[in-house]
Amino acid sequence: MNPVLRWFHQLGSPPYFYRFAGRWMPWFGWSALLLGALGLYLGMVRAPADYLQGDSFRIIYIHVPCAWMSLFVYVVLAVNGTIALIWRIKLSELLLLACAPVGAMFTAITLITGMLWGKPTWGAYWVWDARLTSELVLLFLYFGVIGLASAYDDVRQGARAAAVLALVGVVNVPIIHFSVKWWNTLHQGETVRIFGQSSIDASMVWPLLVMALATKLYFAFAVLLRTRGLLLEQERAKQWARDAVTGAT
Amino acid sequence: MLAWLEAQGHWGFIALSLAVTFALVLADLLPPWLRQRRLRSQIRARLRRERADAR
Repeated sequence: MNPVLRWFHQLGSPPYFYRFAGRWMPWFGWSALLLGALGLYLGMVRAPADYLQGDSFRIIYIHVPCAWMSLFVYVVLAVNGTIALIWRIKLSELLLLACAPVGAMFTAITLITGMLWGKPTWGAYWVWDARLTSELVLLFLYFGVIGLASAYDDVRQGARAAAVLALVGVVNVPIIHFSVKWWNTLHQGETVRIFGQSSIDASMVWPLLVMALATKLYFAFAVLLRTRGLLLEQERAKQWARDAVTGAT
Repeated sequence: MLAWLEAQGHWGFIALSLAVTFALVLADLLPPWLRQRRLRSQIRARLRRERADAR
């Protein structure tokens, strides 16, 4: 068998995943903390103030990486939902359950910091603009996934019901991304582009990229932490879980 | 309260953004970490009880 495919098969095994997560969590956690501290220092102290927005623009170093993550996590959620529904892999169900609260947290930070940026920039905390409204819908979708999953006594059944909602809700992701192009919005358009010229100066973009990497690493850490907990809860009666807790393996 | 916040200027909004972010990150991390610690100690206690019963 192809080694990559074999590794994926191994990753689906609860004892293997538990050990894998335990090995990688400290790396993800500490590098997220260090990069987050560096990104905030560069953004809050070293980056120059914006010529138009002044210092309030520095909120982008929290707001924008969290907004990117709110969309990315939902896509990860939907991919795990698809795998859970088609192949019924237990680990994908647990990953879906672990992703939802982390995604909701990123979305809540995006909305709150956006409001705090909006007041000094637009003169209003909130406007019913396409980007803001579709991001709010994303928060409700995350709440829906969390609520639906916990409405069932059987964790696996709850996860599969939540997977259906996750798949239906994924249509909102391109709507959020393209809302600033499709409609006339108060929210500014795309500033940082992967392909093509960004409309932000390099001295301002570097801290943003560092923060983007820090949020990705934080997500990996938080999801592994939550999934390990869910695995232990589900499999506590099994010998491998007892061995893992006592350090026998 | 909002009037007070607005009186602090741009850095007031930045400080509140940072505070909210740290609070939400803590709220995201602490419950699963504490739950996992409790679960691990429950499993250990159960194993100890089982070993004592076996003797």
